[in-house]
Amino acid sequence: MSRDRSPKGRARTALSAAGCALLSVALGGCASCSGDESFAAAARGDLRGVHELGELGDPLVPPPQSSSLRKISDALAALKPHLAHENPFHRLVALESVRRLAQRAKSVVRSRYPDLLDPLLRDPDPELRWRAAWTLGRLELTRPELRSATRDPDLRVAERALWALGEARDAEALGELVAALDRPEPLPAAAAAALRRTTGLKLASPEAWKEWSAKR
Amino acid sequence: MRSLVLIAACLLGGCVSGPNALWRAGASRAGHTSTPLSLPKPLSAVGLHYKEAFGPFEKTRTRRHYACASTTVLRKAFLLDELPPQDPQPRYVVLAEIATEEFPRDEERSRIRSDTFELLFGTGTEPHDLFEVYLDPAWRGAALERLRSYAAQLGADAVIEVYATGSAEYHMWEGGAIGFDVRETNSPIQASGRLLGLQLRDVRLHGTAVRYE
Repeated sequence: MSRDRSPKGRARTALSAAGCALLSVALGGCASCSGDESFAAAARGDLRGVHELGELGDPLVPPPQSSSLRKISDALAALKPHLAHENPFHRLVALESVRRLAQRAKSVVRSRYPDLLDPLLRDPDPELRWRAAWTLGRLELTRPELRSATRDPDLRVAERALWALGEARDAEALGELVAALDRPEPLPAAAAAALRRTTGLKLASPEAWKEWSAKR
Repeated sequence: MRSLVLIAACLLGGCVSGPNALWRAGASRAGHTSTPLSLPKPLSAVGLHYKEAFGPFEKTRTRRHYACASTTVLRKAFLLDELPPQDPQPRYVVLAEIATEEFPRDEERSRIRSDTFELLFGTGTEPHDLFEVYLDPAWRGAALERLRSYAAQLGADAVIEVYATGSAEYHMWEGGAIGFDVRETNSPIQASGRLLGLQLRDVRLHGTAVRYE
C-alpha cells in the first residue's frame, strides 16, 4: 500500500491523527467519569474518598459522560467496613457519608441495610451515637438499639433517639418515650413531641403525657 | 512605587479571596503550613469570635459537583445571630481553616421555595435563591463546641470569623442554557429550568483557628 506524501495527504493524515487523539480523550473522559476514583480512594482508606462516596447521586438519567455511574447501593456496601474502622474520626466520616446517601435513597437502606447503624448506636463515642440516631430518624426507621439509645447517658444521644422514634412513629416504643418524660431537659420535650407524632394525640406538655400514661 | 504595587496586590488578593470554606469536616492548613502547631489545649481555653459581616468580594454562594455531577451541592453562607460580646483580639497567626460536620437544620425556618430557576444576563432567580437552610437553635451549642474541639486539637487560642453554611442538593436539571458546560445552570447569558431531586441538607460551621502572638 502506497502512502500519500503530498502536502494535502500529509495534512489529511495530521487531521485524522488529531481527530483520533480527540476521540480517545473524549472516550477516556467517559470511561473515567463513573465515581470509580472515589471508590478506589475509599478502598485505600483515604478519607476524601470516604467522604465523596457519600455524595454519589442517583439521577434518573445518567449525567453526560457517565454511562457507567456507580450505584448508591455500591457506595453503601463500600462504606460498611469503614463504619467499623478503629479510628473514631474515620468512622465519623463514613457515618456522615452513609447519612447523606440514606437521605437520598431511603428505600435502599431500609430494605438492604436496615441493621447498618446498629453497632454505631453502641459506639463508645457519643458524637457517633447521636449521629447514628439522627440518620435513623431521617430514614424514619426504628431499631431495637434505637429504643435502648433513649436511655443513653449523653443527653444529645437520648434526645436524637427520642426524635428518631417519633419520626419512625414506633408504636412499640411508647414505654421508652414515657420513661423519658422524667429525665432532665431537653428529653421531656423531645419525648412529648415524639409521643404526639406517634399517637396522633394533641397533648402539649410532658405533664399531660404523664397523666395520659397513668390512665393507660 | 513599591507601596503602590503592594496596595494593588492586596486589593487583588482581596478580590480573589473570600470565605474559603471547606466542603468537609476537619482542618485545612493550606497556605498556613509554615506556622508550627502546638500541643492540644482544653476546650475551655479556646475562644470564639463570630464573623460580623461578609466583605463585598467574599463569595457567599458556592456550588460543587460530585461524582460526574450526579450530585450538585449548593451552599449559602450566613452569619450566626445573637452575637456574643466581642473582646478586642490580640495579634495572631493563622493555624488552619476549620469546619464541622453537618448539624441538624431548623425544620421550621428551612424550606424549599420552588424548584424552578430562570436567569437572563445574570438577573432573575438562580438555584441558590430556591432554598433557605438555617441551623436548629437547639444544636447551636453542640456545633460551636465541635468547632472549638477541632481548634483545641490544633493547639489554637481561638476560632475567629465563625460563620455557617446551609446547603441543598440536586441530582439533575431539565431546561435549557446558553453556555459551554451542559452541567451548569449559571450561564451568564440565559438559563432556565427545573432542578430535579432538589432537597435540603444541613448546616456546617466554619472558622479560622488562630494562635495569639
